[in-house]
Amino acid sequence: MSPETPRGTVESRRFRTWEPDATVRPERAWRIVLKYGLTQNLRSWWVVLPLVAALVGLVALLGAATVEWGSAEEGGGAYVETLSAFVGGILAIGAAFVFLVGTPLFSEDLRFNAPLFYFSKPLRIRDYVLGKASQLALIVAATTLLPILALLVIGALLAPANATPPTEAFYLDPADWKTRTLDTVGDWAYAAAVLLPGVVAVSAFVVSATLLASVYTRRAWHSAMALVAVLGGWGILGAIASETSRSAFQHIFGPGGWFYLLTVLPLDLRFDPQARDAVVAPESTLAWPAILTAYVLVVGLSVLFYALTVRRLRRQEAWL
Amino acid sequence: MTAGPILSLQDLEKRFPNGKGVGPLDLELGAGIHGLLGPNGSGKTTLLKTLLGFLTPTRGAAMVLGRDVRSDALGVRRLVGYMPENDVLVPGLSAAQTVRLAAELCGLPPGRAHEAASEALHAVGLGEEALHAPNRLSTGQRQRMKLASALVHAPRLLFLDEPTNGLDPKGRRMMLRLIDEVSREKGISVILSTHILPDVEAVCQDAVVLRDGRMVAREDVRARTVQRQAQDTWFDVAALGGLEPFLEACRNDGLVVRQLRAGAQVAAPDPMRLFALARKSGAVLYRAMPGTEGVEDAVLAHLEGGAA
Repeated sequence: MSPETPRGTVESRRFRTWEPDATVRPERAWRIVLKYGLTQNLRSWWVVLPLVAALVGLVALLGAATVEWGSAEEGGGAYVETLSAFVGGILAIGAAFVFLVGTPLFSEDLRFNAPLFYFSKPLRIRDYVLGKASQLALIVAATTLLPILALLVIGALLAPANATPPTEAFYLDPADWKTRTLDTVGDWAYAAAVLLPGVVAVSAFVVSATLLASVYTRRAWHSAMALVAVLGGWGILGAIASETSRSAFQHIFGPGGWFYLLTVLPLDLRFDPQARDAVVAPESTLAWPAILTAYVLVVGLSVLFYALTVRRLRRQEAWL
Repeated sequence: MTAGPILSLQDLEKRFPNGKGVGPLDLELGAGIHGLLGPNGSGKTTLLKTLLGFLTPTRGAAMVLGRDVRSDALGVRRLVGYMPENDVLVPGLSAAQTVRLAAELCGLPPGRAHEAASEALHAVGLGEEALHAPNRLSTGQRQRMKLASALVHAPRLLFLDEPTNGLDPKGRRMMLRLIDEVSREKGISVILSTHILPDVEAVCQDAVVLRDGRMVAREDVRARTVQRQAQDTWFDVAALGGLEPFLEACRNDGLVVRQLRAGAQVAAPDPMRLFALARKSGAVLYRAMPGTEGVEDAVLAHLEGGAA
């Protein structure tokens, strides 16, 4: 008998009915969207191959950094130069994954009527959006945040070999631990306190902007083009601003500037007064107001983009 | 089967800004398989989407399995399985994973979702082919995947929107058989939206006929089928001095009557019985011509604007 005509009846094929109330737990719905989203990614060669390539590249990068810093002359300043170059490379990898993973999130679902499938089940729109956002955030974090943290830790551990102001603060010298411990723990705590919210804020902005670009199209490459257009325009604004202004506020007008204001600058302000003076002088007093403004902008825009994404899906003509 | 009504509509209306839509509708349906019949654009799909809470009613109230679609749409979706008309697929997932995702979204834990998905796929007759991406399946297999996705959490009510669309005769027969089995053996009520009248005749107990968003008739399919199986013939009838007393006598005698805009039809085994009833009611029957018969004709009559 061909598979087109199954034997017996539904009952004889042992189809059972479940008692729905005993098992329904809709509060974990966003996690289900996330889980199956990652399954989708792992079934796609367009994601898996670049992911493998990126992981190999990142391991090589961390190895190169270790060798570079391990063999550098003491006080040579190799740490800061190498770190900024490597972080740039890692962020480029992250951006590639934003395009590969982020732009199809809603656009491809809309193309194949998937929202009709999702919303015919007890799934709220906000859980659907949250699931998709976590999917992108997780992949971007895995390809950027973790390697950057690893890079910072490696650099700090190798501090004596290239003892410049930023790294020597993190170094816990075994020979002198009694006098250095409290200071070092304080420095790590400060670094974590300024880095973590900064990275989270920038990531939230990138993720929410990508979601918004994705929910308005039915093709991933259309979303990608929209993102490129916005980032390109913003980059031009940043370039113009950097020519006309020397204050820390100039960074607000460039896509890379927010990352600088929310992560690098707060670190420099504590650990590298020389670098701070070089960057923001003579208006160094404006550094903290600029950081605060960047936070307000980044968080405000992230919330706005997220709300616009949810609103777009609430207008059923987008997917019905 | 559910004791109370599975569906209760009170003055329900959904209108779009362009004036199209459905309603106002007053309707109550009990457990069983019900047809929702009407041509394209008659409001069938709009009605189903309103009942699922995708569309907000312009006015009126709708209860599905005792839950209000305005205030408890998620509760409705938990108890209802929906098989949409168009192809829906989650890109990047196989058919089996799609059904499992449907189960988990309805609240089944992962292990049980896996089990339930396997059972639902087996029940609809999908085997190894479910491991493929849905776009590699045939139309019939995709339709059955959609049915499995709707069934997987064992809903109490199924909304099936054009389930036999694009199927060959064999696939169509099998889909109808599945629908019948699911209702009969598992006690799941079904609302079958279609424009294919023989599908309704094959599995439904009654049919709600929509035209331009309004209910123009509610046909007792079983009664029609019984009439037809008994080889009753539909007679176009006309009488001097008004038809109503004669039609009343026909109804009292157990015959099925349908009123058309111009006249009426009565299903009877032979015309002599009609003349006897006319005599009894005092009417002067001057026409009893064999007309058309069956649900299809009755529905067509409604849709063509002939019926009140």
